Formats: sequence, structure tokens, C-alpha cells
Amino acid sequence: MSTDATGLPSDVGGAINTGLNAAASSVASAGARHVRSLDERLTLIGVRATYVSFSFFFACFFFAIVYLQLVNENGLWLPKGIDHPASALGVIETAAVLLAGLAYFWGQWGGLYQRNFARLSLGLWAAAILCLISVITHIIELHSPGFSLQGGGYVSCFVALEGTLTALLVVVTVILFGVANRARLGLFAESGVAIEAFGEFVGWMSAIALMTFLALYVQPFFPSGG
Amino acid sequence: MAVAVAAATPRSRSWLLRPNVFTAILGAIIGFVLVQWGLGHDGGLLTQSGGLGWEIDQINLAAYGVGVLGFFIGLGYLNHPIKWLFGYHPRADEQADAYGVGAGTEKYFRLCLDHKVIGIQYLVVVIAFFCIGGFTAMLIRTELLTPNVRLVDPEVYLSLVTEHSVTMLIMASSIIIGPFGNYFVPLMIGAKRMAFPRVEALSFWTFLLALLTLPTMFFFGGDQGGWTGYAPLADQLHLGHNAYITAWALAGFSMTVSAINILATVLLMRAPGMTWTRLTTTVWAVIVGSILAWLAAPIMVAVQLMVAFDRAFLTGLFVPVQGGSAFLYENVFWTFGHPEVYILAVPAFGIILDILPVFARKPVYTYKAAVVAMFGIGLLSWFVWQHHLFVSGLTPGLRPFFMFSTEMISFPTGIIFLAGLGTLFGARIRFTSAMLFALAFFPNFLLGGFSGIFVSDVPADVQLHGSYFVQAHFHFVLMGGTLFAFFAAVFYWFPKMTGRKLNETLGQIQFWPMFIGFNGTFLTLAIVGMAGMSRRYATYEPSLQTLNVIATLFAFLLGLSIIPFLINLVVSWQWGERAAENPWFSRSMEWLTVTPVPPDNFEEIPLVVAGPYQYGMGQRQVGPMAIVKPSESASGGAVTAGS
Repeated sequence: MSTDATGLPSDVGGAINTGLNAAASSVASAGARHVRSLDERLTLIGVRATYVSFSFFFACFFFAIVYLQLVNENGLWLPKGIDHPASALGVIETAAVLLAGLAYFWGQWGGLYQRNFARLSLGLWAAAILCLISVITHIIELHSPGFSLQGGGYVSCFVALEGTLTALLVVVTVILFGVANRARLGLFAESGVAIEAFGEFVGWMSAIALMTFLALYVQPFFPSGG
Repeated sequence: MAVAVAAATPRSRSWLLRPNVFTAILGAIIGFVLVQWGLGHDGGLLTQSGGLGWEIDQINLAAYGVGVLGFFIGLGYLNHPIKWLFGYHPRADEQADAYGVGAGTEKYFRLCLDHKVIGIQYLVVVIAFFCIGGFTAMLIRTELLTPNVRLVDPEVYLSLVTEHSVTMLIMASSIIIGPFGNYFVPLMIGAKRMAFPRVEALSFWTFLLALLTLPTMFFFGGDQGGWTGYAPLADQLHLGHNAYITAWALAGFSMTVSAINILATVLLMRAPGMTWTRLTTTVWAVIVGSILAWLAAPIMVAVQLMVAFDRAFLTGLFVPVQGGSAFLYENVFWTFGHPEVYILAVPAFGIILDILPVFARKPVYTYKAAVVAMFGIGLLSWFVWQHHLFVSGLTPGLRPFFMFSTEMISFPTGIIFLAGLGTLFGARIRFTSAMLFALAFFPNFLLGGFSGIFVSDVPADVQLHGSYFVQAHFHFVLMGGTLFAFFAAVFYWFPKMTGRKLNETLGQIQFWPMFIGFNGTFLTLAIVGMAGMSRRYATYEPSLQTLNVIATLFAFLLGLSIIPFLINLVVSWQWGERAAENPWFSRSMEWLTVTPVPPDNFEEIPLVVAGPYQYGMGQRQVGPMAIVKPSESASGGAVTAGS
């Protein structure tokens, strides 16, 4: 194919594109702010879209908690004698995720904005280890919750939500170790957008962990709850 | 960051020895068998006597999980992410190989990141599973030739109903967005690639795995739950229901990631000059369908996961005697279920409005109103789910709102209808096969819409709920709308995808039996439904036999109409008439690049200077839609994995 579909001289399109590229480059270099590349913007929007869809996913579990509590079918939302697992477990697993988020942010701030890559690496390793601690605590909690799995609506919601959150945490922990490893190798020196984007996801996950703790350990056991 | 890589160096190993679809299926089988019959057999590690004491459903669901993992290991999908985590960056030749640069037909049988290859992979899988779903429909209709059980026993009959409905729904969820969204959206917006090629490939392979997983239910007693899989029945069904859970979870995941990829592509990768009002209706419709899939599909994954918890761990989310509620399932399921209808239907609207102007040589009538209407449908689809629950005993006070909101959908749908009819008004129409299928959309969807008014109306729905009238209604909407749009799209875009045209005579031989068979089948079934015949029973009142025989004969005609299509597809792909680069004289961007489309789509990003529908402007003749630098090489020697 050698004819230009437009009927114009065949190099016009290329010339216009070249001009546009040159203009974009000069704008980028003249501006005071860093202009993100297309791939960087795509990475950010991809991760944001992912956690928005994950939010709809987790909303179903929170809706189940609200719905079953309101309906209280046969009075079996929270039968007498049913209690949450040891509070210490809930606090540790949630605090570990929140601290992981903080460690990540601390590392990200130092690495990406102050160019201190040792701090980036340290922050990411700390986040990965804290998430691992949370995974282990979740597994202990689910293995010996202290109630029968047939013990009513609350128990069902507890197992479903904590089980799902644990699965997500396992995946995030694996990725965190990988990202920490890449930071150790100095692979984020050129572009740290992956760190930034995944940091948003870790932040979102911390919020979900906190909401889970409030929905399963605190709210149903308020005097007015259940 | 632009990463231009050189042509792939030929691989020394035969492609059959590298990860491909067959090794993926083998990996899935090995993973599944290892858990189900290796560790899960009597006395196996996972069982009571083996020590771990897993329930039978736990073992079965774990087997499906490991099977999924085995599939992706066998496919080689996990190689790149794992290497990335270990700090490895792919070499240029590996990158080119991943995009299928310089590869032959084998690239269609393995993981490939080129959106055009993925589009064709989707197309073939959609057609294959449409045939499988259609075959099960023929078995169902054959059984219903007589009022007594003849062909299969009632349990198998219900499993066939599940297989048919779920296969068709999963397949149809991607029937437009899968093949045509993936292939053409980047071309229509002037992009060189999709935003996330690996995510795009993931969406395809997960989609395929979902469709492959579903029939495995027949190894475990089948699944009698129908496509809705209502709880608490779902908690009590055979092990086969775990295949349903796995298939829907995979399909939901596939739809979600596909949507994220497409939305990011359209948002950030439009060519210079490609303003929002210059997008084709196909792109707009794919955007609306993708937004719905992005937000609704995760809900389906969540609700199936909840069923899995109930079955595997004996929790009681949907079991009233355990403090659960069946209404919880119905509410969450239909929060996905009704947007799902428009995930299927809205992309079809876009295709129809895209094809009509080409063969009518007129601009789309009220383009902007049609686009707004698509968004209106998408928005309203979130507020209608309880019309599926009118007879469930749920709070009667909610009924008027949901009746009203459902009937409100007629307004935006009517606008799209009028946009189509206005485009045709006074036009000199070219009746190609593509146009015939596009035109058939109107009577089919009109019947779907009219019958929908009855079932959205509470007093009528109370009478018609669960009857063949409802079944006829949703087939008019989904099959009459989506499937005919699909065939219109195949005939329209086949020349760009393959470089050859489908045979027009065979197209007409397919169209008329399909149109007559389809309408004959479902108009008859609507009457059968009004006469009181319920869905999902292998038997019925003997007085309804004549109507059922008529419906079955029309269904056979419908089934047979697919044969000329398959012949046309195979023969034309191989030996068909070579197509000109723009055989339909369309204005839109996908026709401005060469055929076959090179790996980079366009040598340079085009500059868009006009809209796609400025047909028949007379003296005010406008130029082409975009200024494109022609590609020198059709086979391509480079791929730009960045920009």
C-alpha cells in the first residue's frame, strides 16, 4: 500500500505528527512540573480502576453484613454465646496491615520524592513483612475462630469476609516481596510510577482491612448492635 | 517511554513444545486431577481418613482452583509476572515474540499480546461456544417435542438447560466487546495498541477457561440450578454446581479486566483530534458496556464466592435456618444480573448504529442523543433489579418504584431505536448481508421491548413470571438484538480482519432461515408461555404439544441456518474473494490502515480531522476522517510497546 488514503502528499501525516511530538516535548521540557508519560498515566489509571472494581466486590460482603443483621432471620444473626475470636488477633492483623501501609508510604516518600532508595527498599521490605504477619494472624484466626461455622449470620459473614480478605492479602504480600526485591535491585530509579500506583492499592487495602475490623469486631458487639 | 523492538528471531523449538493452548488445558487437567483424585480420593491426604478432613465440596472447589492455576502455568502466562518480580526485564526479541511479530498461524494457539490476534481468538471461541450452546438448545427442543420424558431424564434435562444458558450468557457477555472491541477499538481511536496488552490477553484466556470449565459439571452429577443458580438450592446441588461457580467467577474476572483495559485505552490513547464527538457509536457502546462490566461483574464474582463458602465451609449466608437469607442472594445476584443484560445489549446498539450509516450513506441521526441514551440505559440498569423479584414475596411497597424504573428504560432505548430508523429514513440502502442482519435487529428488538413492558408490569408479571413468555422475551432481547448484531459485525468487519470477504450468497442463505426460524421459535414460545407453560420442566400439558412441535421445528430451522455460516466462514477465510482495503466505503478510522493490519496498526499516530459519519454531504464534501501515514510493511518488522 503506497497511496495515502487522504489524497494528500504521503508524508503530510508524518510531518504533522512530528510537529505535534516536537510541540509536546517542548511543552514538557518547558514546564516546571514533571509531565507523566503515557505509560505512567496508564499504570495509575489501571490500578485506580482495579481498586474501584474491587470496592464493588467487597461492598457485597459489607452489604451481606448489614442485610443479615437487619433481617435477623429467625433471630440467628448473633445467637447467644457467639463471640468474635480473640480481640488481640483482630487488632494485630488490622494493625499490621495499617502499619504496612504506613511503612510503604514512608519508603515511597523517601525513595521517590527524596531519591533515598535505601529508604524505599527498607520501607517496602517492612511493608511486606508486616503483611505477612497479618496473613499469618488471619490464618490462625480462621483456623480456630472459637465458634462453629454454622453458628448464625454473623459467623457466616465473618468467615466469608475474613477468608476473602486473607486471600487478597496473600496476593498483595507476594507482590510486595517482589516489589521490594525490585527496589533492592534499584529498578525504580528511572520511574517509580509502579511504586506509586501499587501504593495506592495498598492504601485502599488498608482501608478495607480497617472497615472489616470495624464491621466484624466492633459494630456487632456494641450494646445496640445485633 | 517508547520501546521499539526488532523483528523476532525465529525460535528453534517447535511451537508445540512451547506453552500453548494445549499445554494450558493439559496443565488444568493435571492440576484438577491431582487434587480431586490424587489428594482427594478415599484415604487421600485431604480427606477425613487422610488427616486433613476436608469436605467433599472443599476438595472439589480446591481442585478447580488448582486446575485454574495449572491452566495459566501451562499457558506460560505466569512467566512474565514472576520474572518481573525477580527484577527481570524481557529482551527485545522476547517482547516481539510475545506480540507475535513474524509468527504464523501458531500465534493464534498461544499467549499473544497483539490486540488483533486476541480479537480473532475471541471471535473463534465465541463462534465455537455459540455452536455448543446452540446444540444443547436443540437437545432441549428435541426433548420438548413430546409432553413425556423421552430423550433424557429430568435431571439431565435441567443440566442441559444450565449448560445452554450459562454458556450462552458467558459467551454473549463478550460476543461484541471480545472480538470487535478488542480488535477495533484501538483502530477506531487511532491507537497503536491496547493500554494493557497482558491484561487483555488475561481476559481472553480466563474467558476461554470459564467456558471450558462449565461442561465439567457433567462429570459430577450436572447442575440443575439454571443460569441463576438460586440459593438455597445452590447450597444443596450436586458437586457439578462447583463448575458453575468457577465458570462464573472466571467469567466475571474476565469481564472486569477486559473492561479496565478498554476504558483506559479509550480514555488515554485517543489520537490527536479524536474528540469525544468523533468517536464511533461502537466505541461509545463499548465504553458503556465496559463501565457496566467493570462495576457489575465483581459483584457476580463476590456472590458466587459466597455460595462457595456456603457449600465448602457449610456457612449459612443464604440458609435461613442458619441466620442467612435467600433474598440476599437474589438481591446481590440481580444487582449484577440486570446490568449484565446491557453489558450484552448496549454494544450491539453501537454496532448497529455504526453499520447503518455505511450502507444508508447517511450520518447517524441524532448521534449525540443516541450516545446519551446509551449512558441513560447504563445508569438505569442499576435501578431495576428487583423486577426479577416481583413474585418472590419481597416487600410489596418496593414494586411500584421498580416497575416505574424498568419502564423508564423504554425511553433511552426508544431514542436509540429512533436514531436507527431516522438514519434509514429516505436513504438508498445497500442490502448487503451485514445490512440485513443490522436491519433484522429492529423487529427482533422491538418484540423484545414490547414483551418487556408486560413483564415489567407487576400485575402481568405475576401471571407470566417463570413462564415461556419470559423466556421468549429475553431471547428476543438478547438473541434477537445481540446475536444479529454480532453476525452483522462479522460480515462487516471480516474483510479487515482477514483480508477476504464473506460470500454474500451464503450470507443470504444464512440470514433468511435464521430470521424466520428465530421469530417462529420465540413467537410460538411466547404464546406457549401465555398458555401457562412453565420454564425448566421436561414435561408439559399434552394440549400444548402442537405449539411445542411448531416451536421445535422452527428451532431446528434456526439451528440449521448456522451451517451455511460455518461453511462461509471456513471457505471464505481460506479461499474467499480478496477484499479491497475499504470494501464498504466506510469513513471510520479502522478502514484507513492497510489490510492485513500491521502489528503497530498505524506507522504514525493519525491526526483526526473529521467525524466518522459525515456521509452524503453533497456540495459540502468533507475530507477523510483522519490523516494517516501509510504503513510500508504489512507484515511488520517492529512493534511499539509504548508510546
